[in-house]
Amino acid sequence: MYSLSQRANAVLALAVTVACVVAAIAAAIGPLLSTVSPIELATPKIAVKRTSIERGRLGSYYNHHSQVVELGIVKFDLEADLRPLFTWNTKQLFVYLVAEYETEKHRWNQVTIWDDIITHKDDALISFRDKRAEYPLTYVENVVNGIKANLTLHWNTVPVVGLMLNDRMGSRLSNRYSTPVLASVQFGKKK
Amino acid sequence: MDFTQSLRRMSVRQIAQQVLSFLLILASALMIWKGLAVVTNSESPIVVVLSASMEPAFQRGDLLFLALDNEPIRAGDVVVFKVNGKDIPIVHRVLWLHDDESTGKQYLLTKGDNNPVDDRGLYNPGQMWVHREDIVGKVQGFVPYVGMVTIALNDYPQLKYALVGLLGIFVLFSKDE
Repeated sequence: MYSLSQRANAVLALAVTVACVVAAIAAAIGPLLSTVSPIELATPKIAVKRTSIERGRLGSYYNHHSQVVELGIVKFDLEADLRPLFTWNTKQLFVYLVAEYETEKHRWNQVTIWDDIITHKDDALISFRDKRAEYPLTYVENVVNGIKANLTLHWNTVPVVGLMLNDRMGSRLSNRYSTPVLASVQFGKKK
Repeated sequence: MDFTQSLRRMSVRQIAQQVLSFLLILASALMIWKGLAVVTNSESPIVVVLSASMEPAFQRGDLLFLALDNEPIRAGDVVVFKVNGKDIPIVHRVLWLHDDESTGKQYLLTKGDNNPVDDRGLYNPGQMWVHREDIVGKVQGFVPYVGMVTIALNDYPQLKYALVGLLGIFVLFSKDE
């Protein structure tokens, strides 16, 4: 009745069950805690230093025949304290700055102009000046002149185990944090 | 010796019963998988991370849970998509998007967190965007390390046959007394 294989089977089944239950509890605690005691974040400060329109090629790393398009380059200051977002179940924080704008043909456009991966709580205090945006602001129709965009700060919490959470500040789509627009960018002259 | 003895003792009916219970297990596993696909509205609701292009968030061997709801995709969502004509699903983050309200078409550009450049090199030649039809699902949650089993099975197909063979032998020769 108590052979070696049966004992091994019982031990393995118990281990897997315990691991699953612990993982489920860890995954559930995060969202539960955030609804009970929501994390308060200070409003991040974004200051746009300089915007310019350049002409260049997109995707030139792989595609050598792409056309020359207009690119909007943004230089900005950013100060944000995201340290409260780091819990015991946080593996990393993916922070990204999105320029959101509206045109006649496309009602909703989002272009990520800068992103960063934060893995330690101390690094979550972001503060830099005169940072040139990592990615240029572009548009499907390849013309950037005249676009007015709102800059919003988004972050994506990646847990050690559990559900991923996205949140943002300063956006029209804001759900929990309804703060006014953080900064806006104007490329070229309004037509 | 034990195996051949127990095989001779079993009648055709008993062998058929064992095969049937084996098929039942397979069928219920398939039902659970397809049911999950219906609930999450994604054709492949659970995927394994194969590459290191999303590190440090997703390591090779992590299991991802996908779902596709009617909410429009937004920049920063981590999505799994397939390039038209290629079989391998790619899990990357949406970098840029442009919503065309008149046609309802979304133009998306993706990039792996750990990649230096965006995914245009992975798309088909001349393709600059992916669209919502190419998206298999949005990543909602994940469990680390569990997917290593799938990677091992993929890298060593003999392991797959050995495992199924072992399972078959155990099911066929277990006597219900």
